[in-house]
Amino acid sequence: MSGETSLFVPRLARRRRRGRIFSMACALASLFGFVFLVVLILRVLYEGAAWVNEDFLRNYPSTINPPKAGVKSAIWGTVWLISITLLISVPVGVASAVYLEEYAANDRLTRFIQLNIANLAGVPSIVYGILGLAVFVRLCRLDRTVIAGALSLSLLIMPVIIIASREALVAVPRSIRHAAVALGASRWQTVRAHVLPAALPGIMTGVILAVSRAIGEAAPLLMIGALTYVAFVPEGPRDYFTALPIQIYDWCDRPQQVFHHLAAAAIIVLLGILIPMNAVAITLRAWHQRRRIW
Amino acid sequence: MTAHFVHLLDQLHRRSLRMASLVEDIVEEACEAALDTDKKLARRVIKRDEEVDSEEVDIEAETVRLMALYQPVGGDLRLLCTVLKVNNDLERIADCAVNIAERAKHLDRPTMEGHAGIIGQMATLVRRMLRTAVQAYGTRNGEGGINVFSQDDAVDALYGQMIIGVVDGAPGRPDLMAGYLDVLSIAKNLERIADHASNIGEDVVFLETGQIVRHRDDQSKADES
Amino acid sequence: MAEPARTLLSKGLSLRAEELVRNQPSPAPDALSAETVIRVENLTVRYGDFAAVRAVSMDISAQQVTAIIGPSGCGKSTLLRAMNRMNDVVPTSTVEGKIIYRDRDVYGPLWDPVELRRSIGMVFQKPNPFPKSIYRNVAWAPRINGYRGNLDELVERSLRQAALFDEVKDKLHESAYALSGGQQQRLCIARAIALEPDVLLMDEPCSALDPIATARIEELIHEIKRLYTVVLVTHNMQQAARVSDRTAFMYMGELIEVDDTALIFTKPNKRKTNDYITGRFG
Repeated sequence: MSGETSLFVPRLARRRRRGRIFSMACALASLFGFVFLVVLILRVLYEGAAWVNEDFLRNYPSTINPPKAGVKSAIWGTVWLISITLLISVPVGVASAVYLEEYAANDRLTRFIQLNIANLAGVPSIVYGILGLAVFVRLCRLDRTVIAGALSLSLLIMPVIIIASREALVAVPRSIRHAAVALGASRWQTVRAHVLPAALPGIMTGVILAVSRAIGEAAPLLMIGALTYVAFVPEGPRDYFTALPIQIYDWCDRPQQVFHHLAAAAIIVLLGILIPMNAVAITLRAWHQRRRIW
Repeated sequence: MTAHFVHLLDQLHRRSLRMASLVEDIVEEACEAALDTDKKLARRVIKRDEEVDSEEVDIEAETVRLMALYQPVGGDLRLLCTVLKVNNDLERIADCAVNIAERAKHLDRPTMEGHAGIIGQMATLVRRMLRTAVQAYGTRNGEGGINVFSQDDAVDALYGQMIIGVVDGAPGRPDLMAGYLDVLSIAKNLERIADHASNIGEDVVFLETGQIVRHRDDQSKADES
Repeated sequence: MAEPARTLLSKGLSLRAEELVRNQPSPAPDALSAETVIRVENLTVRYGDFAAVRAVSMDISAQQVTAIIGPSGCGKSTLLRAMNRMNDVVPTSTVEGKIIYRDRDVYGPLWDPVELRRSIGMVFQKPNPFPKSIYRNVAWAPRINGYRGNLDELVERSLRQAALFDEVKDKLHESAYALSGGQQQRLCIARAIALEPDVLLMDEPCSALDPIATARIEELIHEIKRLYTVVLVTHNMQQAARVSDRTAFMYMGELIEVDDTALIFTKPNKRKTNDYITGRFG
């Protein structure tokens, strides 16, 4: 009621003003990131759009004849690389998350493992390259093949997948698990029928993020020795390869202007692979989420 | 909620006890009116019955209200049921007292004096029974409740005696028939007061133990408590 | 003990357990009478150091509703969950004493918890249907437990027993989450009885529901007790009074009194029981 004790000093105008300032600051922050992204993309498009044509996609790279250079080998190399990386890292990553969350006892060992995984997510990618070189290329004698590259990349992105999957699993309410257990289900039956499907959107988010990172990594691939001028398409996992990031890196390194255009064009191609891939994944996730109301 | 309900319960019980006190008073006055053939006192008794009737209605209403609103269980439930039953018995006792007073209005001294002995004894016993019952009800003591019905037999015996006396004497003196009938009626009402007092005793046993001991012989009633 | 004619499903004995029982030289020491379905013997359940249930012994009689009442924290939910070993999901819980079901100790080597929970089902406080269709909610458990009969019939029968079929028969394949709270809880009951358990444990099944939904579930309990033994934990004494045949009163982990419901609520033996039911404490 108005006119009561004067111990309350609401200061409404000031509070509203502060609220407005805060929301503007948040808007500016988001705008900041978005603007930079737009600027970068426009720049790339400006520099390389004219150079993206059918020949570009079909030709192999060439230093001698830049106008005739293409990214065919790089595209295929990237495709092979990412496919195998996904095939390795997603099952292993999700299974690890399931084990850590559902099966492992909450003791010091488990917590230690989890701590390490969190740390690994932040390790610079070049370290994974060195690791890949030592273990996969040399020790396992896989040579600098697609499989070696895929394994290194898998190690790189697995912590991200594990962490995102674990978060998704933790978010599934315990009441669902209790309900399943009370109906005489074993732990595996509970996880498979209820927990995993419910956690799927979160897991897919993690996979999307991880793959987006993997597709653009040049450092680990360079370390394991991926080639730069490859005039063939890999025919199997045990073949040599090149990848788009590497190609881009190489072209950027050259002084001649023409290579910068090629690099920009290659970036456009890379985005052209990445964005539809993400779009498909996001659509799948949205479709799955719509099917079930939480 | 509960402290409030406990308070209301307590209040109700005390109100019921006050009504019991009032009824005891009325019974005493009715007996006095009968034995002394005091017409003025008799009229007073009849008037006081109105108060009992109105209290009976109020107490019953309050009991039902408490039951509906507070859904009592256990000891509280038994108390409310007992209040309801005792309420009823007390009102009947008061009605019996009124009947006695009505008779007392018509009686003349000589007729009464012929039977004062038995009536006097019955009155004393009945008042004692009522006192015991009400006391047990007030202290919620089942033992006291049992003591009440042990005295009932004596009252019945006296009543039996009275009937014999009338049956013997009445044929010889038809002109005193009205008087005889009045005296018999007084005795009958006293006997009924005794029965109601016994009921109160049984109700108190129920209150304390939850056992319903009606319609049993004295020994098994004692066993239950 | 005579077992009622049920489907293959509710036999509940794994082959190994059956052999072990058959090979025992003498009659099982924990044999129960025909009336008693579950016997709790001197049960103590601890979470770490704290004893939530202390040396409780009681019998659960067949085809009856037994209610367990008591103030918050008295251990009634813990006792209930001990019966179907749901306490196992809490890592710090330890159990002493026995719970005898089908002549074997539930915590002994002859009972596999997964098997046990097929025969002793549970309905929780907050309705927790799976994020799937109504049909699949009911059909899932029988299917994974190897039901070989007609699933459609089983789903319909369970939903009818739970007094839900008429309301959902046209939307069996819609999400269970579209149902109201009361309907969801009845769905959880249907889901539990689809396995045709012997015993149904209900942990405050109505506390998240409005009075009308509560009344319907109480009606339901009245009907299904002809088929299943029900153990009901409730903090609502009037509900225990309305619904149960026997009532157990627990306080601070101990069983104070257990008796016919009518007796508990008209003349309890223990002073503490009377104080609790008349609201003098708790």
